Amino acid sequence: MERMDQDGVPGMNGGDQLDALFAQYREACADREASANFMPQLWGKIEARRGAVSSSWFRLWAEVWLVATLTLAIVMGGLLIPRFENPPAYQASYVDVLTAADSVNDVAVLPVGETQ
Amino acid sequence: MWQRAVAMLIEFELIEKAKNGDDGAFNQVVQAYRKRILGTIARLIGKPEDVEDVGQEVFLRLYFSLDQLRAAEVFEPWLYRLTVNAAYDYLRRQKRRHEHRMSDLSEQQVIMADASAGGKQKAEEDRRIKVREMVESLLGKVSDEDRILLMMKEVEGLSLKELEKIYNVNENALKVRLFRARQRVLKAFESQE
Repeated sequence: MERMDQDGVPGMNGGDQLDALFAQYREACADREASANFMPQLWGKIEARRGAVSSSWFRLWAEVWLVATLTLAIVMGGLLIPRFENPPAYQASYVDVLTAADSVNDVAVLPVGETQ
Repeated sequence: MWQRAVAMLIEFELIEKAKNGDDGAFNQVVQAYRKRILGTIARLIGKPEDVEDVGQEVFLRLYFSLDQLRAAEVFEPWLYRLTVNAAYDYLRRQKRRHEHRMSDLSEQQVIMADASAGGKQKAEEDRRIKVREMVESLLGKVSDEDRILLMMKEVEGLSLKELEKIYNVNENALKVRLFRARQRVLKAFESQE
């Protein structure tokens, strides 16, 4: 590749020439103004990222609630299902229990003579 | 050796406002720094057509990380760190996509040459393109990490102290790395004679 302007400068070693080349590069790529679209595009990207961030937060919350609901359902199921599976200690229906209780009470209120 | 004149472009108060979610203040911060940052990016990546994209990425990252900034005093190293990271990500992406084709450069040269009107202006633009091309070729001899480090020191003119803040690495480690990178580039430079 062709050497730059510093070629042949007396007393310049390789390091100096490299420094001179870097200086020329700095000059060749001077600070530049942004185009008119720079700021609108930047704010567009910020808004898009904001939307993505908030929707991902919403998704995260939804997932957390779903997991919590499922966990609760499993725990409740674990606690309740064994109770339903065990046979109840008393097999009689509610009406049977009431009838039995009433008949005992009837006997209790009858006068002694009428029991015969 | 050339050293950049260090000057904060904005008041700390403005940074604090932006940090607290004031979009107007953030807008002012971007407007104050965009020229400098775009220039740095242009020199780091060497692709004028992608400079604004990378610049927007830097300010986008700044917007969403500003709340993590410890103090307004360390704003500039923070911004430079974001710039270095975005430039590095860009260079890695480019490498992955195998877009470092010489044909792109030639095409770009033609467009730029066409755009410049007049013989003197054209000659000046040609000289600039040659300088860019030569530096690009030399920097191709070192890794992307060393390329950026070397650029920040030699072209951006940042001091070792500033680089230490940006890279979070001690000065001696930086000196060793810079020396090796410079030696590699110098060797390539001398072999082109």
